Amino acid sequence: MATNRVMDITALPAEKEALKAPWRIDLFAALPWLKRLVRLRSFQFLAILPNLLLFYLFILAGLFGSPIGNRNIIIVFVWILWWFVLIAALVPFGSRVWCTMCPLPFFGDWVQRRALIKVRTGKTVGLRNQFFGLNKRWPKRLSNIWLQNFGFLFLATFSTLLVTRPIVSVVVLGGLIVLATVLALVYRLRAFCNYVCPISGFLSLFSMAATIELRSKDKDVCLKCRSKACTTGSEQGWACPWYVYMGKLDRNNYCGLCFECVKSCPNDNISLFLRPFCSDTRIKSYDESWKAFIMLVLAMAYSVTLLGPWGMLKDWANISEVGNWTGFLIYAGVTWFVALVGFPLLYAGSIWLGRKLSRTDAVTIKDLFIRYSYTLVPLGLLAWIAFSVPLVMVNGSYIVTVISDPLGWGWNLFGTAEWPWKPFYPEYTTPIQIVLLLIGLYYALKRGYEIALTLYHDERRAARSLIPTGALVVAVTLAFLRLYVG
Amino acid sequence: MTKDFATLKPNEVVQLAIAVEEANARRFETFAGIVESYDPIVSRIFRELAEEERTHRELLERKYEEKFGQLTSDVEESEVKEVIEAVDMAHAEHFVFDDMTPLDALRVALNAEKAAHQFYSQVAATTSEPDWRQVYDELSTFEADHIRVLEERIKNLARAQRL
Repeated sequence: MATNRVMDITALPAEKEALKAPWRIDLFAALPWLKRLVRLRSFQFLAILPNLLLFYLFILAGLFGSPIGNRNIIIVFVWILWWFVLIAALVPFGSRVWCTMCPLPFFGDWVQRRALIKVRTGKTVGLRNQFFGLNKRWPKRLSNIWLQNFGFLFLATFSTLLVTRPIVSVVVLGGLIVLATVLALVYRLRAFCNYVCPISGFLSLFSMAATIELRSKDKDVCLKCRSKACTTGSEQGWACPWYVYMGKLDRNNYCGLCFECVKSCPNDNISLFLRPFCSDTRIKSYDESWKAFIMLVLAMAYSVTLLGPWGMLKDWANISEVGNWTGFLIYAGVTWFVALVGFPLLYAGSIWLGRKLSRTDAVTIKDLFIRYSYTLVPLGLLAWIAFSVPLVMVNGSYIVTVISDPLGWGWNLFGTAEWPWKPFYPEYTTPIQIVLLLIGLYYALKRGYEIALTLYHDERRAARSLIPTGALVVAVTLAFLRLYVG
Repeated sequence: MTKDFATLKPNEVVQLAIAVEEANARRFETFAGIVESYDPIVSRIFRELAEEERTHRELLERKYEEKFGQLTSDVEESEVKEVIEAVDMAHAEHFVFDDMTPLDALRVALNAEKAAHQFYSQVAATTSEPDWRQVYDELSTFEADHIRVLEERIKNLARAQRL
């Protein structure tokens, strides 16, 4: 049992179908070696270590290597290779598995735990592990993802600087690691990851679509558990760094896949499950809805400026090379306005109209607004993947050259430094993008209708309420297709 | 190997009910500890609820001794398949969003009491043994009293918050 959705015996056939618990495959049962691996106390340390070493190399390359972006490993590996692998593979198929191996909170965890591998038992603010630092409570007003929303929007606005100037990447990535460490000294657990990290924000949203989930095997076992060791910690594992309670976990958003709960659970009741794409469909609050708006609008803004035919817009966004500050401010202002106000207003209009069409007040505007924003999750994720495909297919050859010359100093470590720049199968780019967008649209409409059924318990009302939002989603998809197909 | 509730004898059912009250007291203490530095009021409510569970346990112990004699603890909650009464968080992300309110804390307790009341009522309705039915009915009434007390507290708290 890996879902807490309750079957309503009065539900309609279509609703029953929508509410039916989808299939799950227990990966720990199918692959016992995987369970043994994640139960190792050293598992997360070993997962982070290679990335930490790479991160150190990237920082050195950014500081001392070539200032030309495509000749420096920090730019090519982070903003082409890592980004593509993250958005096209790790998120859709591995949920927040990047968080398992992310080096950013490494030093913060270390200072909090004063241990790299072992567990310390003791008592800290209601938890059963000994933590160091001030262990302050994160401000209640900031216990949401608004900071992450603005942080990502800010970084995305200056992305041309980020992806072309190695030193800017050093400042941002180095700054994030320092910030994560300072916050770990002051606040309890992973305050940085939960509330501040701009990458974590979109991982949180898009992990809802992922085909894996970490959940309890039997919710009744969690109900009967007295220690709640997944949340509070034990001699075997640290308290959940993300502060979630596995007994009721029903979505991926705030599970960073550290697997501490697999170790700490006294009932061996936590497992990793394979599941259908887009299984978590419950957006819970406005900050999460706005994350969906921001991600979709940014995917569109990047597609317009980087892949579109409008040279002037490209120049406006490219502040690092063109230096047209007036143009850049117009570009940034329009992007922020559309992401934070314009598109949400358009979406709100579709919700208002949908509620009118449903001819009932049974569902509040707020519930509709928040729940239907899920339609933008599969569409947004697939749009980001579609946008990223040409980046790696066009610029992929830089990965091969930079491996031999990571600092751009003229080295030729593996004999590939002179590898000619050549796009990989450019003729397949557009068909791949079309297929990706249509998959996103399909899941947006399918899951949207399932959400509508759970809200209205009436097929006709559900369908009518979804028409305007569905039309908006179709229009956005057509806009992407127009950009990619030309 | 877990047992079916239906296989328990009346004295074992009461032993189980006693074990359940103690288990819930511990769960409330765990929750109280976690939220202590977040919201002292919610934490205090959880501690009060833990105390109430212990009072319920003592009441049941006295009933047991009146009815069956010397109390032995032969049946634990974990040995029985069914969940009779287990307090639990409303959702997994209370501590992420720091959104546990005093009313939520009381509702957590109310939901558990309601589940227990429903459970004992159902088994009372399906048993054919008069002695057993009497035990189930007593436990059901016992839980109904707790529900009334909690509903009153929730009503008072909600009213106080509105003022």
